Amino acid sequence: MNRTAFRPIVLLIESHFVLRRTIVAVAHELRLADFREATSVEAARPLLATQPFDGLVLDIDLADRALALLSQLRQGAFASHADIAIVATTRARHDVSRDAHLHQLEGVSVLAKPFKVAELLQRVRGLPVRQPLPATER
Amino acid sequence: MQAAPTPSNETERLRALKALSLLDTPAEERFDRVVRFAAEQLDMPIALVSLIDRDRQWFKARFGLDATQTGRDISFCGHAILQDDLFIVEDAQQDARFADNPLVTGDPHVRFYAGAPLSAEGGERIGTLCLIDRVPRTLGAVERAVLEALRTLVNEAIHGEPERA
Repeated sequence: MNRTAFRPIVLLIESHFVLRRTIVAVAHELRLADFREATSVEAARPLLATQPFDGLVLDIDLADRALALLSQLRQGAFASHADIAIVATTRARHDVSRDAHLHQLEGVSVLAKPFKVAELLQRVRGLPVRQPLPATER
Repeated sequence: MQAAPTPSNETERLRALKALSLLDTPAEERFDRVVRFAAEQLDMPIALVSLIDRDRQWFKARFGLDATQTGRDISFCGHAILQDDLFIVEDAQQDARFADNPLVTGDPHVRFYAGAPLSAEGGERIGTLCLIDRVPRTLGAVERAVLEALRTLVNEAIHGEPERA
């Protein structure tokens, strides 16, 4: 199926209820992106396993599980292309080992909390809509 | 100054408001978190969940304002509940309806107001989620969409809907 006519589909992993619901609603209202939601890394795994996404927004303050998920994504463990854009959100401004890990993963931008919804949407609105991976390549 | 006209369904509106059992109740986090977030997102010093009672507006949630209620006759929210759409006053000093309003000429010195009407399940407009600034402002498309999204969350809380995971 050719998806180039559609908006990017982005997975949002965020436990903060008001922030999560606002991002999804505003992106939909303004037709910038279609978000799928998960409140935790554990809740996100089944979605990542079965659905291809064009981008990922993840609260990396969800501890080591978040960074492990990103590593697995880059290793091609899920239904999405391994090199999809990732926006990592965090309240911790400086963390040397975390930042080194993110740098190794490539294609990860960090967005400090609290952020304006407009800021996040600016980062996802231009994401390319990717063709789904053939089943044999997952 | 122009006080807002009384809505044509005022009797039903007040009945619906009373049935919600929200007036004069303690602060609740499900509303407080929305006004905090709204103020932060739109860089506004004041954000409120305001309920319009017969002769007063009472604030179920407050950010940046100490007052717990004001008279309905001087409320901006009384005007906002006359419509479903966002009610926006970009510069109250330039608006004949509000220029000599005591909330404009005195504390809290309202210049900008944006109110999103809130509704009971029957559609009666019972109050607003509103944002106030002390300088003239204009809301862009994203800011308007944020206010609309937060209005939905407050309505869900009013209606007692469970949080969707």
